[in-house]
Amino acid sequence: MSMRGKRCIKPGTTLVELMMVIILLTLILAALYKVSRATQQGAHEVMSNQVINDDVLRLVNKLTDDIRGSNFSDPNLPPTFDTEALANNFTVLDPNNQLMFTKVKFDFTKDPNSFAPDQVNYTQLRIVYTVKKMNPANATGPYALFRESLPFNDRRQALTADKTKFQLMNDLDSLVFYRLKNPKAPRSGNLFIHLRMTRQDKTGSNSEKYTVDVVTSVKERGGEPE
Amino acid sequence: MKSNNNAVISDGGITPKLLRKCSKTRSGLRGSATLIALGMGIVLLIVIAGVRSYTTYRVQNTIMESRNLKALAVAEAGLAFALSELSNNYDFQTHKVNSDPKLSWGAEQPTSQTLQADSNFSFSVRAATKGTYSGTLGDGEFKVRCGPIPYTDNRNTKNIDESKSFFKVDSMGKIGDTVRIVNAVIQRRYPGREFLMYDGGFLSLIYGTPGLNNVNKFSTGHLYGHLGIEIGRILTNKHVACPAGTDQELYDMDSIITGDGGIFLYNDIKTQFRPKNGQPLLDTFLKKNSDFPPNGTYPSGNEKFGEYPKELLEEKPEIIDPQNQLKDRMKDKGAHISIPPKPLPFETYKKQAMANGVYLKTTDCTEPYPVTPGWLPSGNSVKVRVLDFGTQLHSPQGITIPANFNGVIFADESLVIKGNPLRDVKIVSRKDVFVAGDFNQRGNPTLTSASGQNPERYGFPQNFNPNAFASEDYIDSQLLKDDLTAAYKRHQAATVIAHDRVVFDYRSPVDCFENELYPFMKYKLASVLRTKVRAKTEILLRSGSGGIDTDATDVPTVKNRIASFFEEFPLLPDSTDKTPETGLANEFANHYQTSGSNFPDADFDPLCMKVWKEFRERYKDEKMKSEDTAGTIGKFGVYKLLKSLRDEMRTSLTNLKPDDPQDFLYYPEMTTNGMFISGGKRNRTFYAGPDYIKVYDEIGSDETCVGAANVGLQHSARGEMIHRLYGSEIRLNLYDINRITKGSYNEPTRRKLYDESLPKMALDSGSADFAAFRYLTWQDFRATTAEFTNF
Repeated sequence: MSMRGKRCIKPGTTLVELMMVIILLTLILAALYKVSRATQQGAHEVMSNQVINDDVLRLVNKLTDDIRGSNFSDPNLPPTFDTEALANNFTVLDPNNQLMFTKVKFDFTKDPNSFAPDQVNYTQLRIVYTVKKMNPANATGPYALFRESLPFNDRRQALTADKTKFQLMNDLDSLVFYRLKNPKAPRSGNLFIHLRMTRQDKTGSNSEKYTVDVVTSVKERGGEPE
Repeated sequence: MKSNNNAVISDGGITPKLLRKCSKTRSGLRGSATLIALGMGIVLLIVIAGVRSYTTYRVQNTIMESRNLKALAVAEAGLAFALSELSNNYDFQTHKVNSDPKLSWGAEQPTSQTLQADSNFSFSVRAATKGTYSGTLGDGEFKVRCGPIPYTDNRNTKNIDESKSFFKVDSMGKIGDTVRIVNAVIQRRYPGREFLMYDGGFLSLIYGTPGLNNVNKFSTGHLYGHLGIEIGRILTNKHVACPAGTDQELYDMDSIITGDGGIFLYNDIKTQFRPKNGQPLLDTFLKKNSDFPPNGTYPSGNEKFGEYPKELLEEKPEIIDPQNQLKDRMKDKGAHISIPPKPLPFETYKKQAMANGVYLKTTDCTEPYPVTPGWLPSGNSVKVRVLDFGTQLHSPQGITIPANFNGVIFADESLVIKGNPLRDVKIVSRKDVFVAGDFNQRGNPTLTSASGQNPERYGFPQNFNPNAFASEDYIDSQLLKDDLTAAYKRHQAATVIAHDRVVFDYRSPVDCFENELYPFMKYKLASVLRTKVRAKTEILLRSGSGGIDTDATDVPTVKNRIASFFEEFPLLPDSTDKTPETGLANEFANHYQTSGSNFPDADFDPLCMKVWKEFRERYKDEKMKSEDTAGTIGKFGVYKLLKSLRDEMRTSLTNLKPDDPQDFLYYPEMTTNGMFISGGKRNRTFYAGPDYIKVYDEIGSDETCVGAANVGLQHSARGEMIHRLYGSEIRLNLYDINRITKGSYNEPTRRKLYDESLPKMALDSGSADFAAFRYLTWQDFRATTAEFTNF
């Protein structure tokens, strides 16, 4: 009881005490600031990585959606490898590193008996993905992905005037398309996409770079018209 | 400070008075504490906000992606359920599809569900009598709309009825608030109706004998082998090179398709493709693109029993097509025209048979039917029910058609079928079906002719130009190919389905060659009554009267002449009792006595029918009588008639004289018309590749049929008889069946020709045809929960 009384009637704080508090507070705030700063930097780092994750995800989704909705693909573009090891040696700049497939749109409103001899009840869109160096002067990447589409009319003639080509993505470290030999797989097997992309602030050391390396496979769902 | 406060609070003896006393001191410290707390709070908030923002984004992204994938999977599952419903029910639909460019959904339609809920997969279908098909799968929901796309049949595609082929299916899948929709156009295929030959395994168009130059011909439509197709002439015997033999030729082909393999051509194949997609009719030779691997790899060790080597199953040889003429016509696995085999709805067939059809229980199928050694693990006969639908030359036997017959005959045991059904039929057996004679190819018995006899009085007019071996098809192909126009209808829509095997049974000349043998027998009888020349004019030529005016001058002469016929063509070859033959001779003599020398058609034909009936009835007991132990020379009159007929029509084994379409001389052929569907896996001696040793599901006319087998004598040398199959031959390759270890037949020369009426014949409600589906187009999109709710 008496101890409580002593503490309660203490008149104030000494200068030393005040300085101690200030020093401690300064130390604490400095430490907190550092932690906060580090956290912010970390968060920024992670968010930047997420951006590249998103970019890759969007690109993979675009490719897989495109392939899934197609009707048939070229059996030789991309090429087929016996093993994954051989596929890993397939280079970005190989002229066969292309993805070619065709989407078919049927028209059921026309009477097939009124067709000209060479007419069919569908039109086609041939799509080709190619990978090129962004700077032709460089020996290697970064690379850009192009999507070319060429429509065909209902006489299966190419409408070259309506051909389009645009750059879908740039700053790719690597993007290769291939198939793996799998006799048990239907058709020509799955189409594989191996994509690698590194964050753009490449000034940091290698250990600080963030690279997304994705291998995915997808299969066309539609069928070739007879 | 904090510890002090804690000490005070934890003391337990604190009072309001004491608190008041302390207030001054505490308020003096409040400023710095608040500052510290605020500072720390702000920093913590920043950290927490940063981390939370990041983790929430990541988590949300991950959840979203996961839901998207699951929703897509559920939507695809919904699509598969709709296809299963379509497989089970030809009429399945949920909505009409409007004929606008977008194929918008029209009115709800009465619908049904056949799929059963399965709690193991949390699968259920909501009961509904019309409109959208919906249910749950796992933690997702699906909703599906399905309807036939209104489209016009393309008259140029003979094998497919496009007006019944295409479906629009939209399927939505929902997981939580995430919804995906798949829009697809589905093509329905009826392999039995659309393919000349379909094989759920490897389709082999390699038939024949080494050293022979005869040709098997395959005509019209599509060929399909799910795991691959091989075509070629005989080049090996048990995978060892042998003299080249029988070749194969293709005519009027539309497409040659493999769903999941390659097309192997072992030599150049003469082929004709019909015009297609702006490309004209193409007469060509498909170039050899493969050599069969002599030391192939057989993982299951069944090289002798139908296993295909790994080297073939894993390859997709290039089709040699320098002029780009074959791309639309030969499609391997790359084209994704995959039509996998699926189990057949035997229970549905049985229910149909029990309703208004004919259901044959095991106890209804008790007739022992001889088979060759190795056919069964033990014994040499199977229990069957013989269904003889009758012809213009004999009456039906073994079947009673109920009132309001729905056309379905179902047996729990094996069936033997022959004759001409009088209406569309579906004949189903849980075991084997033996097609034991001409089947489903009648003539028109009431057809009138401006001059002379009805050209179809004995059966279908089998006329060729120049002859049966050189031609792949009849002169009057409209009679064959147009069964939709009443004037040309000669075939019923006959579907023959065996769970195990459909066996073509060549044993009985009286059933296989009846319409060829009968007019020839009649001619022979007329010949003994007058002369060959007169008999030919009156009996064999259509312009003749069908009767004969004998030059016999008394009754005994007539009797003796008929007796001389039976000496050449005996009814009872080993018997001294000639009573049956004498009895028949007496009937001719009695006619002479009562009516004079003229035997008009109205009298002569019934007398001849009596003779033929005796031959038919005595075949069973007399069929094994042979002049040699090998059973190659039958003594029974029918065998002798067969040989005599062939000799009349040819100059050598396979060189026939030109056929005269104005006579009733027909080269002996076994003709079977229908969709012949078997479910069993290949399990006989069968060497893959261009090999002679390929035992198909056939029986009869072989040395293995003689002896204890009691099947029947060899009546035709290899390649000598023709088996003409019209319609389609479908081998699903689904079910394990017993192995047959020995050969059982002399291979005929084969004609396999498609019947163009099949796509439209008797395709009606509840037909339960074997159907397969493939996606033509497929797109997936995101959708909202509101769209899902309103779907």
